[in-house]
Amino acid sequence: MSNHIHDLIVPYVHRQLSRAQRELVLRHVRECSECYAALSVEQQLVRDLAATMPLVGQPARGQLNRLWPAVWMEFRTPQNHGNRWLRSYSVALVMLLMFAFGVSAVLVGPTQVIAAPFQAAPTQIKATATLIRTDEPVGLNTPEASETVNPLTLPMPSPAPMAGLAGISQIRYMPMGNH
Amino acid sequence: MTVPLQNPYEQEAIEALIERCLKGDQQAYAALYAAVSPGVYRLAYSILLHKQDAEDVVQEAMVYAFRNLRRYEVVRGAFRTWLYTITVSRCRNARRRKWLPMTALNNLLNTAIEPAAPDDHTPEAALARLGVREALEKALTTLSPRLREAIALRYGQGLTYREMADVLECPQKTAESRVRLAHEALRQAMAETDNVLLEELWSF
Repeated sequence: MSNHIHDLIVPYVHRQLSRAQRELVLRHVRECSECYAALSVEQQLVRDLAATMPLVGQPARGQLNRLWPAVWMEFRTPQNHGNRWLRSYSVALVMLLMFAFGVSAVLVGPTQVIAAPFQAAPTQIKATATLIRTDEPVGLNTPEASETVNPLTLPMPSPAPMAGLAGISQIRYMPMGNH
Repeated sequence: MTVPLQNPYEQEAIEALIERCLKGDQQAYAALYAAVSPGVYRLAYSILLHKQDAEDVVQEAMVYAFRNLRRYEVVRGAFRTWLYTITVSRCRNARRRKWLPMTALNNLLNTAIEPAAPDDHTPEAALARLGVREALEKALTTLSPRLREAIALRYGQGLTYREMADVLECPQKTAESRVRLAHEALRQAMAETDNVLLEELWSF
């Protein structure tokens, strides 16, 4: 017989065939000694599996009883979900902050980071504007002086205001309240 | 072919125990543990092939099952199926935590209880059965973890292919395919073992 059914033998012994396929196998092995021998070998393996697998990993006497106190204690111990969630969220938050800081440092670049300390200049400018109202307005009408006292016209928060003040030689610093 | 089928009366008894557990009966928890933990241990051991790891899985799986007992729905399947789903998941976690080492044969044979098979009435039959078991256990080490899961659920626990698919979270056809692949691999491994034994015999 040429049309052997080797492909169907393993599915047959594991009960994975349809009714029609099972009948085909049974009809065939009645006439084909080779397939019958193959079927016998596979059936023996399945019989061994069915008889032996339930014995694999049989617990020793008392083995699982010894585990019971640990199981019961762990079960009765209240779970501390809050701390676990808190820890998880804290780590995530720190990582997010570090990521945001890193991205901003890369995108913004070093220029603005260096310029930031000079933003304190408006305090000096405010003091200068107060000094304009003194009785001796010498040199304050010069274009250079006007530009230096107006903080809105300052191109950069740089030592420029100080340079402008340097040109106003006659400004006197008067303590507040001593007029 | 003798596949151990699940006893429906046993399922009813387990459901009664679960009801008592949910009412806070401590003895019911102990009884439930005694009823199902041997199966959980056998499944875990068959997959991991390591005694201590299997015990850890039993503890993790049973604690999880007790804590989530209210989530178990009778209509969705047998309690054992639900429990074996947890067990297989815990086994996979255990495998991830610890790369499975090559298991020594001595470790495999360290199974203390040996219930008698029905046809083990004579010493010769018992010896023959022991020889088959040793060869099979050795052959199991050659299987991949997924194939061991399939063969352990099908022939170690007697699950149907539908139940296997639920436990393994895969289509039924995949479960069937894994059993066939495991069969082929076991046959090959056992044939090699037989050849080695024959060579040893001829060397005398």
